[in-house]
Amino acid sequence: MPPPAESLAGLYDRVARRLYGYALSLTGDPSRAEDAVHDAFVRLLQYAPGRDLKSLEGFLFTATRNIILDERRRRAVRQNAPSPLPLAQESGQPDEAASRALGQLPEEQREAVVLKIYAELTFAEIGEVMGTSLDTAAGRYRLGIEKLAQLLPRNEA
Amino acid sequence: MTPEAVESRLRSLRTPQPPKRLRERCLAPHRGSRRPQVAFAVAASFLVVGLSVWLIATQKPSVRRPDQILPPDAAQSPLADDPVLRDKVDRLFRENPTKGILVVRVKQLREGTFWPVTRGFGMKILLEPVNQNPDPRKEADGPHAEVDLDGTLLFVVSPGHYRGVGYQRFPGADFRDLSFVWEYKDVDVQSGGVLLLSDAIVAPWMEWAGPAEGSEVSLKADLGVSWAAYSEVREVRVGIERVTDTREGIISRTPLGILRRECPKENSIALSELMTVSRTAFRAGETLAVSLEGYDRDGKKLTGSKTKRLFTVKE
Repeated sequence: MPPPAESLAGLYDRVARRLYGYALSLTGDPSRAEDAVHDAFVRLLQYAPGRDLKSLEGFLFTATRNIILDERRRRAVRQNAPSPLPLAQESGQPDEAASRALGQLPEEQREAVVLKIYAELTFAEIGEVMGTSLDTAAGRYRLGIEKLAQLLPRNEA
Repeated sequence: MTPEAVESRLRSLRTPQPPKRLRERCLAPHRGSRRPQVAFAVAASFLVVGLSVWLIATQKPSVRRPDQILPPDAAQSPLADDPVLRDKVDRLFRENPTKGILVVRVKQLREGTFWPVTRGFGMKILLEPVNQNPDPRKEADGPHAEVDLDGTLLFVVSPGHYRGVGYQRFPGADFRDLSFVWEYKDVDVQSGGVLLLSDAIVAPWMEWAGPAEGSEVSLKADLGVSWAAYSEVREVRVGIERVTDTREGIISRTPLGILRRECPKENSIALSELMTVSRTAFRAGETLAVSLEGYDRDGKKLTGSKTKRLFTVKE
């Protein structure tokens, strides 16, 4: 059995990139995204002891979202158009058209697309994170993808 | 550009890596520990000294250590509380040292209890590498497994990131006429890794009680559809379609909507309630088809109706 400290490291290694990408898509700011992920881990360590969490990953995604939304409310910041989430090909070549198109989606749809494609959550998990039903999460994702199908060619023109 | 092409393009892209320091911050997190800020560096150093003294004095860290938080192995392995499964997986890894393993437990709902299906059931998980564009001309394929004596399917898979595109089941005679539900998903298979996927459920179908197939249902009387009691089903979803028979003999089905309800005590839903999910009102003379799905108390799909029920609406 690995030492327990490695369990947390394993969890971090598995989830960090997806969680950070999600936070970045919500904030548009690498520093705030980093802080939100860190604070989500703090909450996990404070909340988890003695509790039977259904999914540690699910907890982290939900906590990250709540932290970012709380911060927005505190600062009374309306963030209709955050900086686009930077997306790049395997080779490292940035895909600016895709980033821009994703940034043009309504926030709920963008969030559903990011959670599905880059956080690799199921619609049921997305529903839990966003506080909606599975059907609503799937609907937002579908609408987002349909809208991207229109936006992407325009951004590349 | 098609939605499929958009999905495929997005999936081929990567989001940025988090900064390396974030790992250290998250593995030894303290509330309020923010990114290093030059302006606060000196003050912070004094604070650290003060905090250290306080921590030593109280021997009570502000945040619990990881070994006090995570259940042993919980984040890493689905095998922690199942030594039998662990043995089987270890054996498979000895035979397939570079592979990953997907685990699905198959359970049968019988007399109000879930029993493991221990023989006569096989399944193939259909997977496609995520970095390959879906090709509708090509049939998806994937690993096959037969249930073992513990009701477990163990799939040996090469490492990779796969899109789940479906499954193919191979039920023995005992299970052919039962409903089968399994939620497939995308999987990231790592060498030496084990993924416990959702349980597959074999269960009796939901049976229609009314209306009779092909009968007429009166709008005025406002009767609707009903089904035989199914105690494990806590929520139902009724799919409604309009069925049109064209002059050319082509039957077209237009989905009108899905009504989602906590399972009513009387196991029936009136026509007027079904109509609430349709954009257009039901008209006398038109034919409708309804399907039924049943979910448990946790919102997990359990079963459904084997066939759609057709009826005609009358005044």
